[in-house]
Amino acid sequence: VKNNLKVLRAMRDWSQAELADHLDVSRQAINAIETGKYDPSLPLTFKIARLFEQNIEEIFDDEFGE
Amino acid sequence: MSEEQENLLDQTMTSLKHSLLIILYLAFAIFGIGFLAGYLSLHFDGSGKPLSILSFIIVFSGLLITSGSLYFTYHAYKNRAIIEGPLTGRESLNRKILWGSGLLGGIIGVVLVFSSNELGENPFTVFSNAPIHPALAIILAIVFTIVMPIIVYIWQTRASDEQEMHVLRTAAYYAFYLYIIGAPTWWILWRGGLVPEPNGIAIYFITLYTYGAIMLWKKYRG
Repeated sequence: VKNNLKVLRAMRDWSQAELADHLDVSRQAINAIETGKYDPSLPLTFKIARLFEQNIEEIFDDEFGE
Repeated sequence: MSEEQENLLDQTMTSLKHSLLIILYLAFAIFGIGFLAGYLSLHFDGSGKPLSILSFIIVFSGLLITSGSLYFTYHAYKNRAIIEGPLTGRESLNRKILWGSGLLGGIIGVVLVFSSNELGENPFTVFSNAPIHPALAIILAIVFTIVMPIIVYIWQTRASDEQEMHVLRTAAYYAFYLYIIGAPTWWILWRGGLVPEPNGIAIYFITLYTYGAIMLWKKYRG
């Protein structure tokens, strides 16, 4: 699943560490999600959506870049 | 690979380098403490006389190596902290648990080596099947069955995040398959007279190190 987490993070001028802190995960987890190596669980997906005040579909899409 | 990913990778590799330095310096410090303890106990048990000039120089050198190693350990620790920046709460706890577990494992290894009758005869004394004192066996069994599960529980519920749990599960699959394929293969080859008898503790460590290596690879390199 592709995502635009990196763009959203850049818009808030957050580092991976800062976003990790907001979501209570490690920097490695943020990096893995941003690069598509790891798909977050539903609870974390909702947490991300709430943090950026967007719908899940606006952040995650399995057709991004296709 | 984006610039940010490269930065994270560089940061991780530099952090790993400092971690290895910390382990190396700590090993020197432990060696120094062991050397001083051994030398002084031999000296006072043997003669009971005060230290000669030569002995004093040897002890002073040992103290210098030990304190220097401890200083460099602290220095490498501080450098690593500067490179990594502030850790999140989970990462900090995760790091403390890993270092604590490493220290506990080191202490168990040292205790096993010094309590074995094979001390000095076999460089792999810590992995031997030589008898140990029943009291020590009971203490270590309590550590393995009570202390370790508590550490693992805290690690998995409070220190690990979901991505790390995913990595741990993946590593566990690989290690498990290696075990269920490797152990009977060794056993069959032994029955055919082709290899030495299977060694349970060797199989345990091969499985454990495979698990650890895959876990680290998946966590930091994807």
